[in-house]
Amino acid sequence: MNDNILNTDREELVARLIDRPESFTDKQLEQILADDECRALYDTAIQVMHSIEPKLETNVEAEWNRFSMLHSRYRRSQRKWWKVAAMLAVVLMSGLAYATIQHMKQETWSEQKATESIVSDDTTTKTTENKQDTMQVQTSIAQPRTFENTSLDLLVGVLAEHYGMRVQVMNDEAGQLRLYYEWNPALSIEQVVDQLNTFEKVNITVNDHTLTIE
Amino acid sequence: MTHFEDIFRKHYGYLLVMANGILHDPEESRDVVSEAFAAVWEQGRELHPNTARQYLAVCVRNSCLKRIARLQLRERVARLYPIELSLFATDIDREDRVQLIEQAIETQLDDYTRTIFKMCYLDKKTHREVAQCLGISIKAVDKRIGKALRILRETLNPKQQ
Repeated sequence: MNDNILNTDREELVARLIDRPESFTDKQLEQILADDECRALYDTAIQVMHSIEPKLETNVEAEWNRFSMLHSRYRRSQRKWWKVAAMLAVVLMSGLAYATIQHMKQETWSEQKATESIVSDDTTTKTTENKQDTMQVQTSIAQPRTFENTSLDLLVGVLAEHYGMRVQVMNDEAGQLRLYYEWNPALSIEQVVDQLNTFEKVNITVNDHTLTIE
Repeated sequence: MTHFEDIFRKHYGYLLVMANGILHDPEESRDVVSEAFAAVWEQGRELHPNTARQYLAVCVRNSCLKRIARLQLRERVARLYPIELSLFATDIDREDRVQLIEQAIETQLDDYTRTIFKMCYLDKKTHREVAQCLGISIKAVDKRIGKALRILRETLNPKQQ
């Protein structure tokens, strides 16, 4: 390679630069592209590429479906419904709180009654109640949940908590991807991950009780 | 069909071709175009039918250039990206230029140079592959491509000569 790379024929030099940039050092690259004539030829190549790039076959229907799935097609029209849903949630939470207080009162009353009668019966009652509590919790968790415009790392965090796993984010950029996803907790983590991995740029692996965003 | 969906369906193809013309990467181009629509959607911006295409084209072009700006010089050259990002500043509408370049390739290059040029730029073959295909040296391919670039430059930018 010449000390002064520009001693070479410029047309040939630019053609080689575009085809085999690895054959030049960084300094030579800068030297070539700083030369007006070389730069003009390089820019011409870009103009040509910019113009004659083969037409892409575009399936607009498929692209729209993908887009609307990722960005919740009807979200704006559903905002009012979200407000209603939020109010309902508040009402339900209030009801749940009331029921819990009543339940605790009942439990205290039962304990007192049981203490007055037979101790072993009290234990049986409490065990049964505990089982019922557990069942109630599991039922509430098992409801499908919709994640809207939620970052992947947050979504995976929720999944990890539910399935008792750890989270490892190897790709921060992927972790910041925002998704629309309807999660069915009845599915296994492997099935959920398979669904998530159908999204473009999402690659999650399940290994050794760890969910890894790659 | 909603207003947004109508605009998406109407302009997606054009924007994708435009992005791919800059990035030469269909997948990356799809991401860029989707991001442009997503930004409009998330902001709840209502685009006017008469200006939607122009607005989205500017968003897509800027997004492409931002991606290019993050790359090192060597990577830009390897992907035939512009060094001066202002190159595309006023080149949103490419139809006229496409016609001019196609015409120049067909009328200004001799048959042999045109064949080599098309193998490289349309078929995306490397100079080595073209050389092997035609039974000539890589240097000969370099010379023909260099010559073609010179002729096209003179045709496309006659005032600069």
